[in-house]
Amino acid sequence: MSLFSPQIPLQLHPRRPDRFEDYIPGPNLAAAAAVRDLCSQPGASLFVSGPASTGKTHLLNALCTETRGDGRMAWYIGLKRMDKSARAGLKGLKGLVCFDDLHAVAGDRDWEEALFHCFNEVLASEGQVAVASQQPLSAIDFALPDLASRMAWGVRVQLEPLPEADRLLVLRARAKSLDFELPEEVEQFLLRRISRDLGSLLGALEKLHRGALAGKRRVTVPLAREVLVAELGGEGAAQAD
Amino acid sequence: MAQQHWETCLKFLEKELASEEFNTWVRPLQVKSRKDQTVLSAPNEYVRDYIALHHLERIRDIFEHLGHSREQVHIEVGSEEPAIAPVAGKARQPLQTGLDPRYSFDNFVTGKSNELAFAAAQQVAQKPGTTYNPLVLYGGTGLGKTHLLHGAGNFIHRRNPRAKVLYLHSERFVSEMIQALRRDTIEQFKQHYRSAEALLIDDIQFFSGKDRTQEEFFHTFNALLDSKQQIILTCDRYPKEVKGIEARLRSRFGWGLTVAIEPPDFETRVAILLNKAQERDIALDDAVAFLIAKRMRSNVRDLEGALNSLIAHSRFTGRPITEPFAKEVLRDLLMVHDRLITIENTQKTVAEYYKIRVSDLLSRRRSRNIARPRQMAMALTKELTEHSLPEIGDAFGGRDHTTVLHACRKIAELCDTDGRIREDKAKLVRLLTA
Repeated sequence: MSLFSPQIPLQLHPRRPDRFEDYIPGPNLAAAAAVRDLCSQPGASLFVSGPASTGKTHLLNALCTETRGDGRMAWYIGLKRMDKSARAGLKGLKGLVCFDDLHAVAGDRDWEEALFHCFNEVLASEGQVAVASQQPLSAIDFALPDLASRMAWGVRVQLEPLPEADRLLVLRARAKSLDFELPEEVEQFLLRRISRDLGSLLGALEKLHRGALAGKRRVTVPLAREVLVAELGGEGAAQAD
Repeated sequence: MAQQHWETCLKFLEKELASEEFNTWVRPLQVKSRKDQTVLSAPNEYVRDYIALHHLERIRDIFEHLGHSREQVHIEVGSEEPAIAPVAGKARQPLQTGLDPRYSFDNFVTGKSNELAFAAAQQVAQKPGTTYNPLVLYGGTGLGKTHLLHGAGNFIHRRNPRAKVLYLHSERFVSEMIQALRRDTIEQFKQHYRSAEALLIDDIQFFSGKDRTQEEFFHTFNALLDSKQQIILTCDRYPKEVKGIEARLRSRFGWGLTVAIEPPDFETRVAILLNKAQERDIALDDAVAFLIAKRMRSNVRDLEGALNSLIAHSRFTGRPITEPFAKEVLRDLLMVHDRLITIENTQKTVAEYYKIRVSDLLSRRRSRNIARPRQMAMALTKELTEHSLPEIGDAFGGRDHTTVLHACRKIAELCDTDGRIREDKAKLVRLLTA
């Protein structure tokens, strides 16, 4: 295989590693500072909750980036995409361990037991554990009270949804991290026509970017109409903007 | 050189892989050189196999391009620092005790709920192997069992720094034994644990169903007991009630002293909060400590978590920790408390716990199997809610307030004399306030 034939071309262009400096905090300024503070607290844990698209994944990855920058090990583990066999992969982890999407495995006793042991092992070796979930801790139905109590031990941070002005900033920052400028009329088009939650907006943005790269075209409103047919409910092309 | 080439390799892989795939599996790998070999180090077999299956070929492509031969690149499970002490004859190195120096008897806050366990742990630590052996501490999660275990271990170790004191979580005992079996070092494993002057194992309920571990632990247990070496264990419930533990082991757990740790009472909860705050140089207002202690009853770890959150939020918002601030920061927790602690929910929880119907609780039936749960439900409602005696009487099928008062007194009296009722009540409080 040649060096320059990617094996799994899932991303046409990688994003920069997430950093705290790129996080658009909106109402979550203090919360983000509390998350960042975990880096300086050996043997501590943190629980971050907040609805979809409030930046939980960004903050966890930023923690990893910062920890790696200090020359220490950091693990980002998205529980949503893990199958059961991956439980065995939690043994022997050291440094910072971030679990994203806890809600995806909460209630599954085997997973909870694996997380519990990992939690103990990491903290005993002066590492740190950060956990993110859409639901606050109190709303999660744990099968293992020991895990619930470990999760409740550290600082809890609750993220609030971003107001529209901040969502626009996030959209621009993401475009920048993908190395392209988002024209104002396209911004407005996206904000008006795509579902208002940030996840949908970012998804549309990345799709638009891929469309532009694939067709070697500039990012314009007509391109957005073409590429985002599904997001616009099939009427995007027909309806005048 | 290997490190430099690995960095280059990471740059390629980062471009090629989805960021989650890259960040989860590839980026955390460590690289080292061994002679002319480049060895990637994974934390466990699962990660090793995953990388070997999905990414190793590609990694070899890139290393080949950088001037290595494909065969020079390997992945293996990184060597852990051995937990097993050096074999006899070699110079004695400082022993890995597994003890956490932060936990001591001095910073353990006592109250009615844990004073017996505290006294037992102190006695055992003062005269290891001669008073109660084994000492088993049991109770719900987050009540201080691990604190006492470390406290006892640290005490023994401080008095005699040459004593071989070993603390470990039951899971570690299991995984070390499995590794020893695989690496054919089981004799060293046995020798290591059987030569401990004090062996402290946390959460023995996780031995449940692990027959080979129990077999080994049984022999370790006997060897230690025979030579009067101290064993201290913790368990999340009365050890004889743990399912999946062999009868002979369960019976041995009862040879020494078994002591329960109950959830702390209000005064102890306040004292714990003030104590923890003081440790962190925070002058916590009594009103805030009362607010948290009143609402969070189930365990100490929750109290600590609430305090940790308050301190962090105060630090990063620049606001002082006042009662309104605490209510705002902990709103989620306080809301849950209010949602759970209603008369209806208490009735439902008690009925489910005793496997009867709510309608039985409200009925006129006076048989013991109904009357006792009814008294329990009334007593809990009085304790956990702000309702008056007449309101509670009304909610329990229109009973008189004196009946409720009698129920409260009866349950309080039984809690002093009947361990089972005491445990039922502790479990129900935990269910309702967790």
